[in-house]
Amino acid sequence: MKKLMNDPLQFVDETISGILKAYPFHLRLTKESPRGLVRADAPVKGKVAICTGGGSGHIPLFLGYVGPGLLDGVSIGNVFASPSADTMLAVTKEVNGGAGVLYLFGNYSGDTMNFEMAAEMASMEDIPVQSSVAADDVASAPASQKERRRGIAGIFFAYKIAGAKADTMANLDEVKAAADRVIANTCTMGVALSPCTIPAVGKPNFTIAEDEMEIGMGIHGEPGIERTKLKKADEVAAIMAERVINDLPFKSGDEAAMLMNGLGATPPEELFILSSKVHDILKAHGIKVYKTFVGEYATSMEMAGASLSLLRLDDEFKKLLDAPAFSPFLPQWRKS
Amino acid sequence: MTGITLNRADLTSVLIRAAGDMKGHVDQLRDLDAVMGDGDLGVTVGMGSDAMIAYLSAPDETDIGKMLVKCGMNVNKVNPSTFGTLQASAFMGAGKAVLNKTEITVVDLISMGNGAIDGIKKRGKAEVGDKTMLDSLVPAVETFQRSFTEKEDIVEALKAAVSAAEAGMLATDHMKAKFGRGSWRPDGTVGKRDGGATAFYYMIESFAGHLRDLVNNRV
Repeated sequence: MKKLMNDPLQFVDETISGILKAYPFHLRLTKESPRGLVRADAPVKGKVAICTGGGSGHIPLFLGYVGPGLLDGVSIGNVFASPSADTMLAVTKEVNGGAGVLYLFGNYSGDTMNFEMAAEMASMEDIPVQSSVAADDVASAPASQKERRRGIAGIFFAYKIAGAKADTMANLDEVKAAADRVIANTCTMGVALSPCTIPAVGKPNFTIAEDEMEIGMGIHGEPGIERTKLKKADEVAAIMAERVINDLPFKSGDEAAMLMNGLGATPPEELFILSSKVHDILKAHGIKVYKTFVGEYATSMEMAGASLSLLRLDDEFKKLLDAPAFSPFLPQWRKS
Repeated sequence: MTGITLNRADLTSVLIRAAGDMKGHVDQLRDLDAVMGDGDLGVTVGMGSDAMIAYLSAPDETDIGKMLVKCGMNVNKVNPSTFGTLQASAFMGAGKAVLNKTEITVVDLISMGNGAIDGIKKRGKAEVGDKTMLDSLVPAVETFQRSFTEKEDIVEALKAAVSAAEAGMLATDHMKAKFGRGSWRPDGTVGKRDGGATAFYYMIESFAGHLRDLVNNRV
């Protein structure tokens, strides 16, 4: 293990402390939990608040999506481990602006159970809460068992669109419906080239040969579909694109937003090489790319690899995707 | 020996000793979990045991039910992993079954067991046979209840419960995982023992053992 850190058990808290010092006007800690972060101006009165949360080790997931036009609060767990229901409740109380709270998080059992527990506790405090669970990883279960799929980088689209929807002062049911519709229309497929190391564990979370890659591996090293020899970028792009296109399925004439996400150790150059080929493949299928995102949106610390997410768009989604949003962790927002 | 009444101090002493024993199984649980899960079960069980010991050494509730609920919340706080959250749900379910009691009988113990099962099922949505902690816990509680109802002998019932928990744990070897990381493996971990069921077996074994000592010391 070769990491710039101090005490592995302080890894998360020291990260949070660095973030708060870097962006003091953007984020603040909750009063009740040192693992809860909210918008500096929370609560926004009359607006549905959106909370997320999950394990550390995935920046800009999850805390990087807190900001105007995006989310209101986040609960932060240890590396690859769910935050506690206690923290989630603390965040819920501080972001609720009177219009209720949407929990929007990825489909992992620990996160789901803790958000459920937090929702029960919030309802005892008379805060209306609803949940939307992102499950976009096509490699983790067949389309017929979509509810079993893991949530990965595609949750970015749900954050952006639900956040913009909440900014229109839509009610809780409407914001949840928008989030659910994004989730239903998002597919993601990843490929991993090398593992990462959880600081407190000290050794890599899986092993893979120098000349191999694993298709469909999860962002915590969950087993994928197939382990093969490392292929050329165009072939990898084709594997990811075909799998994603055929899953929803995307059809000729569809418009889509595309995200080529780096897992942490893969440089932007390689992501653009993959993205270029995916553009060509989508064009050949008659799928129009409305907006492309390339960069790190959901990482797995120093894991090398990438994932491709596609969201099928309609007019409402396009408008919401283009709405203004800000977080220091994301590129500046601009119209297509 | 037909029955026994336990006060708060009796129950906390048994639970604290059982939690202490669990720390001896941490390495084995880590290795089991690394085969089919993500390898954090050992850490999780160790942290949960520390949280139990810390809270139960100086509980701020005289009501046994509330004390168990709070013990669960403390386990969740330090340890919100899947296992830790389900363990917390077990404590909270057990506590809800004996709210407003400062002493508990064997019948209350059975209610606590069933409350723990309900807490886990509600949170985790699993059933017996899904390769989870329920596979050792449910047979233990059922067997304890049946044996005690028939023979009214708590020592006998505890022994039977431990054997049932062990058989349940061993049976997970042949089960296909329906939940968690194991379920994403193509083989569903058939042929491997479940870490959650194993951890609960050890907990039941220790809890029963220390409770038996307490009962025997009273005779």
